[in-house]
Amino acid sequence: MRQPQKLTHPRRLGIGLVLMLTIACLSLPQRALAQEKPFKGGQFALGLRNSLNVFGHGGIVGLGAGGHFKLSATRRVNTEWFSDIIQSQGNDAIIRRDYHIGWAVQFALPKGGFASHRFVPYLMAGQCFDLTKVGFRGQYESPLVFSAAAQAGVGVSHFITPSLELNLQSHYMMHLGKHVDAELDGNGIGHVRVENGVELAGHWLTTFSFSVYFLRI
Amino acid sequence: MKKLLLILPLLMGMSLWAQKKEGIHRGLIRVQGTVGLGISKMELRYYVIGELEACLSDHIGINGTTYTNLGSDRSVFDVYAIKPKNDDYYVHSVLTGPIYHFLTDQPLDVYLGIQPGISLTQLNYLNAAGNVGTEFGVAPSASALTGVAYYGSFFHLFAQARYVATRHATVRDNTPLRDLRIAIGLGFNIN
Repeated sequence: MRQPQKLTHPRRLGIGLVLMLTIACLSLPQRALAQEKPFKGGQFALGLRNSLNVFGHGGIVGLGAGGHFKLSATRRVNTEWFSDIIQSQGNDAIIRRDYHIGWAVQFALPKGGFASHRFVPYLMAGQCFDLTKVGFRGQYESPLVFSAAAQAGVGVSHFITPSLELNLQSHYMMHLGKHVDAELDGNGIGHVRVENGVELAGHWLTTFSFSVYFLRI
Repeated sequence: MKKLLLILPLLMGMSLWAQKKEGIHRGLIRVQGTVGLGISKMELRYYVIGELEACLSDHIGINGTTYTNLGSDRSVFDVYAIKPKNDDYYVHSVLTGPIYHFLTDQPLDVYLGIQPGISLTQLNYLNAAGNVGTEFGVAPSASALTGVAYYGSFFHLFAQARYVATRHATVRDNTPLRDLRIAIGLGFNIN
């Protein structure tokens, strides 16, 4: 009569590993989605955004899209690190493209901080670095011009679930370095003007974004 | 003991099957692929659409969608032709964002979403030598969508409408490529 074969140590280990992996795989979606703890410092999120960009003069309006990550410092202070591509046009003749990279600190107005109320208003301020290219239809395109800006504004945060935040914010970007301006003269010839120094004629950026918090550092 | 170890994952799977919910619920993953139409003032565009969504809660999902533009009614599939036509636009999009599902734990699903994204645009034009040239652009895009779906055990039927705003903006050409993208199809879901 054949003796029942005993599981050798490596084989038992292998089966154990398969079982552990099976259990981990089955429970992973639930664990990853369960973020029921209150908002506090050290929370990390990734998100995407759409921006509406309006320039102070010239009537140039643009649409932007980009991504960001957020890292909270405390329950009332959150930081946002973003990158956007913004495509603007005053009319069919002028095309403007801005590559933004920057950061902002968001300070929640309620004492309870972010996620303490259904809608949490906040103040924000930060810096932004731009690469701007201006083109004139049928004429030429400028090289990329670097500039820096300081920004400040207000926003509203809404945690639709404990791990998903929606944001609507509007901030003014004041250029502290170079400011790029595009103009068509009376003959329809395009001119690019690059101004140094503090330029108050910056632009309003209104952004809708969503962020998914999935890591606690 | 060995048999028991082999049967255990099966039993766990069966127990999960017994607990499964119907329709939209937390933890659901759905995948859908189909073809769709993009209706614009300029032309009617044909798309191949791929979509993936994971539900973070009973009402909220994070959804990612890709649109590959095969052509339009002005130039049907001319991307496969030996000589492509000039004055022809293509717009391929990747869009991601949250979706709100109004109904939960029932076969019917009605949803609404806003999704940012990026589009790769292409313009075929006639150059000075009389040949067709191609110009590419990367454009920021915004979209809003709504749809309905009906869920079976592992599949669902859906109908969706999405408005996408984007633009091919270069020195050569500055044209809005906004359209309303309609899709009907079959999707699969992991409950």
